[in-house]
This record gives sequence, structure tokens and C-alpha cells, in this order.
Amino acid sequence: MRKLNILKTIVDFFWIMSLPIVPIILFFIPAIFFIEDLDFIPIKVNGLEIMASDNPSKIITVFVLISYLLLLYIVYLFKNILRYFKSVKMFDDYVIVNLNKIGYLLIICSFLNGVPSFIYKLIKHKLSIEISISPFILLISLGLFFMILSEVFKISKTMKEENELTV
Amino acid sequence: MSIIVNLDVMLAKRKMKSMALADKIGITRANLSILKSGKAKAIRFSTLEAICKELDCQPSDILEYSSNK
Repeated sequence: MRKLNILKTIVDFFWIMSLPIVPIILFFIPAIFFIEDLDFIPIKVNGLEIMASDNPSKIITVFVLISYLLLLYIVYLFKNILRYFKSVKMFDDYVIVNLNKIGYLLIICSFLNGVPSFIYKLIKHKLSIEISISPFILLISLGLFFMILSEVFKISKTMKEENELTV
Repeated sequence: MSIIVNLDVMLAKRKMKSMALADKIGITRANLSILKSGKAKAIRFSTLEAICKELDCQPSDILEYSSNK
């Protein structure tokens, strides 16, 4: 269980370090539309630098910030799942439901991140062919993986119950 | 489940206590209770064999299929 402890420490550390950013983001999302010139803050989305001075750029920035909040919620759920793992409650309903939820949220997150930045590239005529692992595809794959993991845990729970109830 | 366990009927016929049967066939009383209450999902052939041997009966005397449930 040492690996689990290391993972839990990393996730807890990330969660604690991210917490102060939440109120800043919550303040920044409505404020972004009132600030005229945002060029003094360099914003990068999927490696694409956005000049947040016009409205489309501001909307993209809002989408990215919302997806970041979702990502923090995912970390919170994952942190709780790890707590269940630590207390050897691997097949609890909470774990199964939340693994599935994490999967859905990761897919939503990837769309919130990927689609606006793609549209921005289209608007600004910055389309190019990139040969690398796209974070959009990576997040969708990760989301689907978590959903499959939830299914696997559901099957495992049934098997465990059957094993326990075999006389 | 549509499989009904009639173990308590057979125990009554043989005038045997379930605790005594559990001790004789070597399974825990908790497991025998699961079997009697119909909560069991599966039964091992070895357990069935031991029960049949001890109660001097056939598997069909203990297990019954009902399409109603």
C-alpha cells in the first residue's frame, strides 16, 4: 500500500495547493467581461496563446476556467476515492458511482477545453497540423478509461458478493 | 431466486438441529444460515454431497426449482 500512500499524498498536496485558486477563478470569471484589456496576462490554452482583448477570446478563457474548476472537482472526487481505497473499501458503491462521474466530467472537461480553442484557431486562421499527443484526445481517453474502470469495479463487486455467498 | 432451498424441511424430517449439521459437515453456522435463508448465490458440490450424506437424502430433496419467484 506504499504506492497508494504516495499517490494520496500527491493528490492531497495538489488539492490543497489548488484550493486558494478557486476563489480567484470565481472572481475572475465574471470580472473578465469588465476588464477592457487583458493582454497583460499571457493566457495559453492547449499551447495556443490567446490575446484576451476581444469577446471570443474572453469566452474561450471563461470556458477554460470553468473546465479548470471541473478538474478541481474531479481531483476532490479522486481524493475521496483514494480515502476509500486506503480504508480497504474498494468495492463500495461510492467508488463505483464516482469513478463513473469522474469519467463523464473528464469528457466534459476535454470538450470545454478543446472545442473553444479549435474554434479560436478557426477564427484566427491559426490552423496547423500538429503531430503530438493532443490533450483533448488524452482527456477523452482518460474519461472513457475511468468509466470502464467503474464498470470493472461493478462486475468485481458482484463477483465478490457471489464469492462471499457461496456455501 | 427461483431455486428454493428446503434444508429446514429436511432437517425437521431428520429431527436434526442446524447447528449439529453445520458441525458434522464442517461448515460454519453462519454459512448454513445463509443457505437456509435462501441468500446463498451458489453451493459447492462438496457441500451438497456432505449435506446429502449426513441427511441421507438426494439433492432434489434439498433444492427445488420454482418458476413463480
